[in-house]
Amino acid sequence: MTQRSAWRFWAWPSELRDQGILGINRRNGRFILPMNQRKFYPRVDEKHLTKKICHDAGIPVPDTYALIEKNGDVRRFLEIIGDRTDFVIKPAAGSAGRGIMVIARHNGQEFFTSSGQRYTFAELTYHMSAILSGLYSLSGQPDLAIIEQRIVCHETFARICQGGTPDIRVVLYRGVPAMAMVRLPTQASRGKANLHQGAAGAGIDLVGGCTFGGVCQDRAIAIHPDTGHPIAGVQVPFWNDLLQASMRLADNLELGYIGVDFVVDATLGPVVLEANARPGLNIQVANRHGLGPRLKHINAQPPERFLRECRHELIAEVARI
Amino acid sequence: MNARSSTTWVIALLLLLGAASIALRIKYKPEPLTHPGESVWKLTYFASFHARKAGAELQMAYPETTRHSTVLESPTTPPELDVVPYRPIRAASRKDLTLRTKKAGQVDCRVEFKLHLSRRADWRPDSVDKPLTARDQSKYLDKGRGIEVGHPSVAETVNRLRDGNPKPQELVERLFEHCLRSIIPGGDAASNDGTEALVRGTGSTLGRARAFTALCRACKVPARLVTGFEIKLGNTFRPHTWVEVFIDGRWQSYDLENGFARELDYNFVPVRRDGVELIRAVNPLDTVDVAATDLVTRYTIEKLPAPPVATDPGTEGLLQIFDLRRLPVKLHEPIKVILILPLGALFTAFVRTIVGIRTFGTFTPTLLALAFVFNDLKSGICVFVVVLITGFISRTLLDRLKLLLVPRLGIVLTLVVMLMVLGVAVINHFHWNPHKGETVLLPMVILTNLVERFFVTSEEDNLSEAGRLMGTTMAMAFVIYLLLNFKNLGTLMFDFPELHFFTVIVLILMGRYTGYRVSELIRFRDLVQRDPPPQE
Repeated sequence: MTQRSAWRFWAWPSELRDQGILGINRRNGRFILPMNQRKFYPRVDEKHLTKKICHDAGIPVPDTYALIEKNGDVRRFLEIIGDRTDFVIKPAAGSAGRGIMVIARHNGQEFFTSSGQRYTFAELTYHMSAILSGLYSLSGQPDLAIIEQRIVCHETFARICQGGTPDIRVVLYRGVPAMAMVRLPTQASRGKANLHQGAAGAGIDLVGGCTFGGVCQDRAIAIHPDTGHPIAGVQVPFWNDLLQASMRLADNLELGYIGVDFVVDATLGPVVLEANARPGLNIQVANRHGLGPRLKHINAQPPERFLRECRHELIAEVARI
Repeated sequence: MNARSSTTWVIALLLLLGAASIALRIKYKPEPLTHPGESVWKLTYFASFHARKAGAELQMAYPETTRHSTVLESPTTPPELDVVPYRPIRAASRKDLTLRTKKAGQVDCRVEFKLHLSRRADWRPDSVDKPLTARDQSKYLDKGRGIEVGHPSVAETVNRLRDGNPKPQELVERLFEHCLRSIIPGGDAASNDGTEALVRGTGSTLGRARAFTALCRACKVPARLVTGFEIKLGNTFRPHTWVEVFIDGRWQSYDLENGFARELDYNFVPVRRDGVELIRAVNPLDTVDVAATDLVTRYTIEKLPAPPVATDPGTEGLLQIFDLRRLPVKLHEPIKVILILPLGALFTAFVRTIVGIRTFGTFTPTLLALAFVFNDLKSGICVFVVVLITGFISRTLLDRLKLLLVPRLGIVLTLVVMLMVLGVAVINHFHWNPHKGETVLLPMVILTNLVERFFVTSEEDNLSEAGRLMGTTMAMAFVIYLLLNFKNLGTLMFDFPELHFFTVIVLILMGRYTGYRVSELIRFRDLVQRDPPPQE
């Protein structure tokens, strides 16, 4: 392995190449552009389409209570909710966790999020109208608001971090999981599970589903900054189900290079939150490992090795790289 | 054919196209062109005089290059006279042409100038009047030939018109109107003296101009006579005298004969300032008596056949489409700037895909820079900063109203527009933007989006991230601004727009670049092992 002296705050391109680090230009030019057809992008950019595909393929997703398409529907909101005590409002085309509101309890007048913040009914309907007007959508286009089942985080992760929902990201190349990580919200990330916003991350061993390493704000860590709970050595529950679901989704989306985000629900097990056609490269930092050689190895395989039943061997090979 | 080989072919094709079109353009470089509304004139000075002996000198004032007129070539001088290099004598301007006789006796000579006149062109776009020196100041306030500043009738008129203590501009206009109304043109027979014209209520062109000058000077407003030509066809062609008045750092022209105030028509070409004679007999430095006598002068003007006109359709074939110089002059400057714009895009692509610096919006820096090119930079930045800060504060307050996206953006846009108009009014009031009379109109939609994005980023990430992005946006806008302001580059692109074939080539190469971004060398640095701590 190459050495870097303490004062040097950069790495040479050759050093990154030796480590097999995938850069953003290479990701875009060599993997996303050739592997992901533009026409299939709406399948991941619009969450209600992703959910429909998951539903049809038997992949667990949070129940959709309602799809709010026009401002008129906003008024019927209380009707739609019925006697449900908790739910999530999210924009269909949102990105980076923007515009998601998790309501944990309510009395029809006041609504409380999981972190205890209070919203009035008027504020809630305003939020939905804002989603419809495209405030949180990728390109500012008018959007839909999804009202769905609230996922209760599995206790394995609930113990590690307070506030926010930890999620598991699997990056798949040609339908084969190439790398996975768990993302743990912190106070610094304000409950968001994005590494660049300050969340903590850790790599996941593809074969066993056990976490290792740990990173926060681009620095290596061993314990969660808020709770002090160790991040490494955590066994992800239902890991095999999760991997299977990710592969099935990748096949159904027909996108060659995707990231799938899961949340492990206390009762449902792993459910798909969303898929991403341009998954970030921070997963390499969380795994302290480059994606390059793994993608290269997958690319070098003959077609018969991509059959669903053979992929496990391939995953094991990839995990060893 | 895969993407790689197609790229190679496209690049080869573009290289060929670019090289071929540049080669063709260099080979068939077309003639200089004029434009509709432009004309070329031949102005001739005739002078006949008696030289007592060899070495008598004659000084001729040279037509000035103004915004709308320019001297095309150096003048043709008579062979029987020598051209004397410039010497600082008497009231000689550096541009004056001094001729010296080779022998004694009667001399008849002529000097020809070729003038290019255009209503639309601007040959001195950035011309600024120099501030008056103390010497000029006293000269243009003091009495002169036919200009008796201290005469009682001048003082009396001034006292009457100065009623209400008006500002210089208004005062000068009152004086001008007074001279127009109460000094009747008396033809050549009337007096050339300013005071006489004022007292009698009639005067020659010169007498009236002198009277107006005396009145201005008596009001402590610097004024001077200007003699030149009104370039037009007609039976009589002779020098014409008008007055220039120095107000608020600018010389303004007033012509009593034609009634022009503040600015003259485009076809008035000044030749001599602070004087009346365009051709003068002067004494050389070393002697006092060797001079030309019995000087008689005459001037003629002749309109030359119009050169090929730029936008005559179909005169020289379709290929002329590619000659951008044929476009109206007014369009040249904007087109030059627009032609540099792709280089701004090139720079943007470089910064984003090779360096990896993020900004607000992909082309926002480029569009901002473009806006600053067409405005005065200093006042532009002032307005920009004020609009941004006030916009941000209002946007923060607006957030409490919980308004939907489009109406809210509409409000921010309205605020931006109002702030900008206010900014323009403030700048105008305090004369911070004296040289360019134009207003500061920044792209309002871009500013609106900038305010919105700045606010959203500061809310979703934090203020320092938003500030950082604003910093990179501004820094990039500044670099692109420098690029766009690079006049030689603009002229080059204007003459050879096909150079952009090469811009496309570079962009293609960048688009195929799959190496690391500079920012990634830092971002992923921890994935490269550090040195173990030194062992003792």
